[in-house]
Amino acid sequence: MAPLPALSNFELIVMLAIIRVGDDSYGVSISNEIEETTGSEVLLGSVYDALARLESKGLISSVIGEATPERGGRAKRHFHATPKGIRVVRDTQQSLVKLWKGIPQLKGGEA
Amino acid sequence: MRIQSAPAIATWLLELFCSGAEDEFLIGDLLEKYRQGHGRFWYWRQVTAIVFWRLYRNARRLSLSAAATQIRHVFSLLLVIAAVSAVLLSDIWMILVFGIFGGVIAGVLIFLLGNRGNEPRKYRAQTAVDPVSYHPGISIHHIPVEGAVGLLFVFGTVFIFGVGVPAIREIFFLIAPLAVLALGILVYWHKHHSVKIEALDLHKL
Repeated sequence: MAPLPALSNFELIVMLAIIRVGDDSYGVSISNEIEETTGSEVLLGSVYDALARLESKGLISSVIGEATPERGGRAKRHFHATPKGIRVVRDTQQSLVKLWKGIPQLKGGEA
Repeated sequence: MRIQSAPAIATWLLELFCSGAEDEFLIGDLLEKYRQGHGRFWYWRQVTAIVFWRLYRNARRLSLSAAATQIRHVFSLLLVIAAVSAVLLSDIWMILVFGIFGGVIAGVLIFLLGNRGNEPRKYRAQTAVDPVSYHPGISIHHIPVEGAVGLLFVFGTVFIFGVGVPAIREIFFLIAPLAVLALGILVYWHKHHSVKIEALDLHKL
């Protein structure tokens, strides 16, 4: 079986935002979710670049949605995590948790 | 509900540099997010980041040889426009007759010889992969090269009739900005009006 693709830090954040938002995940809702959870502003262009990379890796899929007046009559593009994408996120989480364990500097919430 | 209008120049820049079908979603998202209550500064910052990142990515994709080809085309077109201007601005109408006649003949010859050489092989090789997007006819790449070679006749004729090098040089520098503008219009037109020729499938008829 082919090895699962690796995720960069920002790709992982975008994947998690897509999974958290659920059915209504498109550019605006994904970037809002990232901004609310991380507390820092993101560039929409960066989000779209990450989405393109994730889609090329087969970790997300997209469908074209409806157009609205506040978008200047432009359609939305909805993103969904694929089963492969969910598997990659889960594997990444397990790897990170394993790395986290047994580090005395990270115990107790203080560096 | 009144919809807040986004900065027009920024949107125009965005549409200029992000004109692909995929970019429609990005522009729509940016407008929607702007209308959720972000300021004009935020909008400009987002647009600037997108445009610069797009330019940087495209520059990285462009190989050295491709860049050299583009520069050659720009230079050839400059020559063409300068030569045409030299002809039109001069009083010697014979230059026009000789120049255009010679240019047309040279251009036709080069086009025919070019199509008999490598072009069909390249065409066959590419149609096997992508039968839609390529055809061996006249493309934007033929225009400057054949035009430039053809209009070398004009320069020759200008020499013969005694106009001389300094006059051509002066006209060249006067016309260069116009040539750059014309090239921009040509490239823009080619980008937005490119014609795709579909392969004829006789089995479907």
